[in-house]
Amino acid sequence: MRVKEMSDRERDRLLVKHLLGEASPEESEKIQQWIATQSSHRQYADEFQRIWVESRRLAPAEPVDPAAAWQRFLESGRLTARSARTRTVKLNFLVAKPWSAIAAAIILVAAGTYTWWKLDVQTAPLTWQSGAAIRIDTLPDGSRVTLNKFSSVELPGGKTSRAVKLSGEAFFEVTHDTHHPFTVQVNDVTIRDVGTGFNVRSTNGTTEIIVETGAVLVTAGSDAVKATAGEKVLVTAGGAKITRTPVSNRLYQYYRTKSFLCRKTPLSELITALNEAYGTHIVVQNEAINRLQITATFDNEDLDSILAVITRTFGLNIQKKGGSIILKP
Amino acid sequence: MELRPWNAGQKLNGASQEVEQLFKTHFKGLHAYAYIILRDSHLAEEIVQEVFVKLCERASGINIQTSLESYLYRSVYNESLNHQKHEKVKARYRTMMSRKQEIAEQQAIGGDYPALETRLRLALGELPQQCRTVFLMSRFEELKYREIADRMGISVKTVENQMGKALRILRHKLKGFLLLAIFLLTNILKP
Repeated sequence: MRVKEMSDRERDRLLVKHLLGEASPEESEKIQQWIATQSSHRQYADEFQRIWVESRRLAPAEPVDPAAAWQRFLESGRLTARSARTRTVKLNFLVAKPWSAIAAAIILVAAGTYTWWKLDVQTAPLTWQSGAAIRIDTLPDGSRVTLNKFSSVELPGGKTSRAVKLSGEAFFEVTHDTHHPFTVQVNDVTIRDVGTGFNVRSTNGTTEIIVETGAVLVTAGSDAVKATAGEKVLVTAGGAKITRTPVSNRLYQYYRTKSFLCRKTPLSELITALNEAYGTHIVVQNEAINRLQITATFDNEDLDSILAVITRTFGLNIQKKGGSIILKP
Repeated sequence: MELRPWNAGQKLNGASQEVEQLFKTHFKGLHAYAYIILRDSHLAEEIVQEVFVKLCERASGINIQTSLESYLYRSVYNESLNHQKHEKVKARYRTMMSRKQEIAEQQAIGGDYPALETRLRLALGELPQQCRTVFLMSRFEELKYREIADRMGISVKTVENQMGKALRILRHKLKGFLLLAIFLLTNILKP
C-alpha cells in the first residue's frame, strides 16, 4: 500500500498540514487514508489535535492590541531613556559593516594626507596646553612633556622642529638627538639639552630650571651656564642674573609624581608647594615656623592629612580664617 | 532557501518607524510566548518591552545568525526564564504554608487539569529553538506557513517539517496526560 511507505516524518508533516488547513486536496486525501487504516492512527491524529487545541489555551485569555501595547511602550519612557546611549552605539555601525568602515577609513586617510601636505602642516605651529589639570604629552620627536596646570608648550617651527616655547611650568624628558638639539625658550632664556630630563618653571619673568638627569645649557642674553643633574639654575627677569645652585628639594616634582618629597626641607618651601598644588592660602604666624625643617614623603595624600602630619610633628595648631589656613604654635 | 540575516545597523534609530513596525507585528506572538511561561499578561508585556529595549541598545553588538524573528523569540524565551529563575529564588523565602496553599488553590480551580497545561508549557520550552518559534508563530500569531517561512527566512517545506516535528515531540512528552485531557474536554463540551 502506498500509504505505508510514508515515513514518520512525512506523516507528521502531512498530519499537521491537514490539521491546520494548509494541505492540498491530494495531501489531505493521503493523510485521511492513513488515519482510516487503523484505530491507533485515528487516536494518533486525535492526540495531535488535542495538543493543537490545548496549546491555544496557554495564550492570554484577554485580546491583545499591539497598537495599544506600542503606545504603552512609548509612554513607559523605556525606549527614550536609552536614546542617550544610542548615540555611542551608532559609531559601532562601522564595525558591523567592516567593508564600509575600511573603505571610509581609506578615503579619510587619503584625503587627510593630501590636505595635510597641501596645508604644509609640516611647518605649521603646534601647541599643547593644559587647563586645570596636569597634562602629559609626547611631542612629535618623541620627547615627553609634563605640563603643570595652566601651562603650554608650542612648537613654532612645526612638527619637525625641536625648538619649544614654554609658558608656565613643564618637565621635559628629551629624546636625545646629537644633530638636532632640543631647546626650550622661555622668558628670553634658552635651555639646550644634552639628553636630559629637566623641569622648567616660569613665574613673573623669573625662570627656574632644575636638571634631573643629563645636562643642559642655559643661555640668557650673552651669558651661558651649564647645569647638570641635581642642579638648579635661576634666571631673573630680563636675564639680568643667572645663578646656579644645588637643588635644595624635590618638591617641584609634585605635579608630576603626585608626591611631596621633603628631606630636611624648610617648612616654608613645603608650604609654597602645597599652596600651589592645592590652590590654598597657607600662612604661618611667625618666621620661626617657616624655618622648621621637615623630612617626610607625602604620597598621593590629601591636604588635610598632610596638614595633620605637619601639626603633629611640630606641635602646631591650625586656624582657618576666611580663605586662609594659619599655622601657629 | 533565502536566509535573511539581520543587518544590525538598519533598524535601530530609537523610536523609528521600523522599530514600531517590528514591535506591532510581533507583539502578539511574543507576548503570548512570554505569557505561556510566566502566566501573567502584564509581566509578559514587560518582558517584550525589555527585549525591544535591549535590541535597540545593543543594536550593533548582536550577532544574529538566523532571522530577527528567531532572535526575538529566543530573547523573549531567555528573558522570561531569567525572570522565572529570579522568582524561584524569591519563592524559596516564602513559607512552606503559603506554597501549599497555592497548590491547593490550583487544584480547587481545575482538578488535575492545570497539570496538563503546566506539562504542555514545559514541553513547549523544551522544543528545539527553531521548532518552537515556528510552532508559536503558527499557534499564537496564527500565521500561514508561507508567512512564517518569509519571516524566518526559511522554506515552506522547512516550516512544514518543523510543525510536524513540534507536534510529534509534544505528543511524546504529554502521552499520559492527553487521555485525561481528551476526557475532560469532552466533559466540558457536554452541556
